[in-house]
Parts: sequence; structure tokens; C-alpha cells
Amino acid sequence: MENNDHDNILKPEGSDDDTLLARWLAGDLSQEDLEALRNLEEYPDYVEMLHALEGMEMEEFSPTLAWQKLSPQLAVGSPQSAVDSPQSADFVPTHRDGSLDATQSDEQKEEAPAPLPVAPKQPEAKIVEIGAKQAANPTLQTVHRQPSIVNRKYLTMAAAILLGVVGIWWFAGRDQFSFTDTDYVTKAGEKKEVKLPDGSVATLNAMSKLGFTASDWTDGRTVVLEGEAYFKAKKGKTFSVRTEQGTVEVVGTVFNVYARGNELEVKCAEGKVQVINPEQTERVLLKKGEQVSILGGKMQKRQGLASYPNWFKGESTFRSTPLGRVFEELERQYGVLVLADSLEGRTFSGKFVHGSLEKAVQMVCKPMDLNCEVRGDTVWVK
Amino acid sequence: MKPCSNETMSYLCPMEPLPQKNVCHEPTYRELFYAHSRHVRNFLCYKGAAASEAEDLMQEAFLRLWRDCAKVPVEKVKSYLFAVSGNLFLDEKKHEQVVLKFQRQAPMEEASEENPHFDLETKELQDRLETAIAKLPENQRIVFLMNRMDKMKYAEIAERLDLSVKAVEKRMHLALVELRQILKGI
Repeated sequence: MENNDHDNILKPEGSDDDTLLARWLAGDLSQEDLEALRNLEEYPDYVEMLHALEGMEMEEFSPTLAWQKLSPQLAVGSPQSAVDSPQSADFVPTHRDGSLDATQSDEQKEEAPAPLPVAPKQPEAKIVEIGAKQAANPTLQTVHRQPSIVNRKYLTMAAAILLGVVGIWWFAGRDQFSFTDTDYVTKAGEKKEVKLPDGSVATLNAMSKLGFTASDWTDGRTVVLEGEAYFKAKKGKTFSVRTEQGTVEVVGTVFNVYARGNELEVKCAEGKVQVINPEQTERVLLKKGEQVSILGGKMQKRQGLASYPNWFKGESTFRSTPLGRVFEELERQYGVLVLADSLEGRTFSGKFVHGSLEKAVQMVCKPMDLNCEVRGDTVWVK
Repeated sequence: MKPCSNETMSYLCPMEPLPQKNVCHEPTYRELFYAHSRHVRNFLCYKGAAASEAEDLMQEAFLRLWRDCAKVPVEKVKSYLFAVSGNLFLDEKKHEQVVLKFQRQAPMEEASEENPHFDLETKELQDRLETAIAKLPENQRIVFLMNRMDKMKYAEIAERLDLSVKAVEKRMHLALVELRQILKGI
């Protein structure tokens, strides 16, 4: 077999180097080793292999959703805690055993788990669903074996309370901001840089609203957005942006979220971003330079950013954007009204500046061969 | 590989080390869940669990961590989780075949200007790679995928699997050599 020869070549110049490729991947090779490796016949195979692997990834996973599944199970162990103290985090669990080797621990005897309060979070239908399921079937968990009426009673109570909370939330209206204690709003033509408690930065575009719960910030980095914002999220726990049009989850990265009307558009400038539709039935993972839009419930992923977001640098850039949306942005940036006959089906690629209305209008209208006129607060388009 | 600096702030970069805290402290526990649940779940997939099974076993491992919270020091949590979830997987019914499916860069619904055609050759190679990876010996496959998929450094893998860095490097090297051989045979 000819392969045998190659195997020997792999160990360069007599040295029985059995970690060469590993160190190559880690970028730890010396210049000579690297040269030697590159001269190998099989080198291109490895490069091709690793390249193909780049486009493969594990099935998506959301720690937030997984946590929502896990936390009620922890509370099941001692339902009192779920009822009494949904806020208390500083309880002392009672463990009687001595120390235990980590690697053998799954052979240990069953023991009542310490209570964990259901994480104080914005109530969501999801949590209740799970809570209710637990209440109906408390034996679901293998961890705790003390089926009793008391248990069941408490569980039912916990579920009822959760239902009540959600009910209140429901009646409070659909306003996602009813739970935030810190809100920022921008007017037409205004931009605002918001420092979040962990040092992450959100830059708000014109006519947008961003809110978060400062008192709850350490429990989960969640902000609510209406409009458009550019985020620089610090590394750390999952950072989520909720919008009516869907949720965006990241760990630490740079990305732009546009959530207006029935459209959500997310552009990933650094790292990775996960986007979830409002029904939580679909998710998509974006890598650097990718974008996704959810328009009327339909997800569309695109490799290659149509345009790098740079509105915060005083320009709005578009690529194959419906003209109607371009003029809406103009309205928001200048606080004007754009009156146009019919723009249907036309798209615009280009940009307009934020400093001068007259200039901006021409930057859009000229290339589109439109006759535009600025009269006071109104832009007429023919 | 991209270095993990503050500038890149990559999603794939490891979390900052947690301050010394008690696992029984709920926010700490939750933080640990956010930091490690994905990796534990992926690890189980690499061992051969299907995605839903992997998620269930991951949850079970975390339930056990909660139960054992007083006995597991924070710095031992990682190796605890990987050991426990690995054992849980072994306890499950026999796994004759490794089911390992990856997600691909989906063919573009709307081809972008930069990349108008989905690269068929790459797709074909990815199919073969998927098969080849499933055929790798388990300990090579785990190390290889923790590095390539979870972007963990060798030292991080070593810490989780209770191995020396050198052992991790050897497995990584072998995995590449083997993969290429298997690919040739497909």
C-alpha cells in the first residue's frame, strides 16, 4: 500500500513527532517544522479537510431554553421554596455525606436535592408549561423520591402562582417594556450610546427604544428592543436581545439588530449570534459576516453582509433594500415626512449621510432617477 | 485558530475563570450551567448520543451536580460534569453506532453575490467527513471535536477530561492522521 510511505513522511526527519499536527493547529510550530509540514504530500489534504470542517457545526443549543427546562426540576425537590421565597438565593442546602470523588459520584445513593428557587425571570408561557407538567407528574424526576400529598399540593400551588403571575403579565398588555426599570428612547435624528451594567455598549439608532431590568441584570443579561441598535456585548453569560419579532442570543460579540414593523434583521459583525423566532420554533446561528431577516415569520439567512452597519458613523448604507424602507430611515434620521407615489418593487443600493437633508435626499434620488423636492418638513418624491 | 483576546470577543472563547464560590449558591450554579451546558451536551454527542439524548443526559448531570453541590468544589465542576455525564451515557442502553450529524452552512435560499453557487465539492467532502468522524476511535473523536467544534484549547480539554496536555495533543494528531486515512478509503 502506498499509504505506508506517507505515514513515515509524516514524522519529519527521523523525529518521532506524534503531536506535530496538533501543534500545527494550535499555531505552536517553529518556522522549520512548519516549512517541513508544508512540503508534505498530504499537507493539502489536511488543509482541505479542516476547511470543510469549518462549515460544519453542532446542532444549535440555547442555554437559556435549557435553563428554563432545568430550573423547575430543581425546584421540585422542595416545593416550599418555590412558594415561599422565589427571590432567595442564599439558602443553605443540607448535605450529610462526607466528601466524594468527582469521578465516582454518579454511583452514590439518592439524596434529597437542595431546593432551588425558580429563577426570577420575566414570566414566560414556556416556564409555566413546564411547571404545570411537573405539577401533574411529580414523579417525573428520578432525583427525588418522596411522593406525598403535601408535595403534590405544593406543586399545584406553585403552578397556580406561576399561572397567576403570567395572567397579570398578560393583562398588563403586550408591552415588553412593562418589566424593565431602565429605558432609553431616541427621537428622530437622535442617536444614543447606552452603557449596560456589565460594560457592554448598545448604540441606539433614531426612534428606537431599549430597556432592561437593572436590578435583575446579574441573573441574565437581557435587554428589550424596539427599533434598531448596534451592540458590543462583553464576553460572559448569554446576552439576549428580545424584540417582538424574535430573540437574539449571544455570549459576547458585535452585532446589529433592526426590529421594526414585522421585520427583524440581525447582522453579525463579530463572533456568533443566535436568532430565535418569536414562536421559538426556528433558530439560526450566524457567524461573522452573516445576516438573517425574519420577515412575516419567514427566516432567511444570507452569507455575506449586504451592508456593514455603519449608521452610527453618520451614514445609512443599503444594499438591495426596498426603497420604501430607505425612505422610512430617512424619515427617522431627519424627522421628516416622505411622500411618494409608488415605490413598489424598487430597491436601492447606496447610502445617505445624516448631516444634511438636502444632500441625503439627492444621494438617494439621483441614482434612482427620482425627482425629489424638500419643502420644510416634507420630502416629495415623484 | 483565532486567539481569544478581548478585541475578538469571540463567542467561541472560553469564559473567564469564575471567582471561588460555592456551587450551592444559586447564581453560581446558574452561571456554571450557562458556562458549561453546551460543552457537556456536545461532549455527549461526540461520544455518540443523539442530540435529544445528549441534552437529557446533560440535564441529568447538572441535576446531580446540584444534589452534590456541597461536595464539589467549583474548580472541580468541569471534570465532575464530564465524568458524570460520560458515565450516565455508558449506563444507557447499548450504543452500537455513533450517530453524529452536523449542521452545514445551509445552501443559500437566496444566493448572495459573493457566493452565488453552493460549493458542491465541499458538500460532498463534508458528507464523507461526517462518516469518517463517526469511525474515529472514541477518545480521538472527542478530543478532535472539542477542539474543532467547541474551539477549546488543548489545556482546556485536558482539564475537562482529566488528561495531560501531551495526551490530548497525541490524540489530536492521531485523529487527523486517521481521518485522512479513513477519508481515502471512502
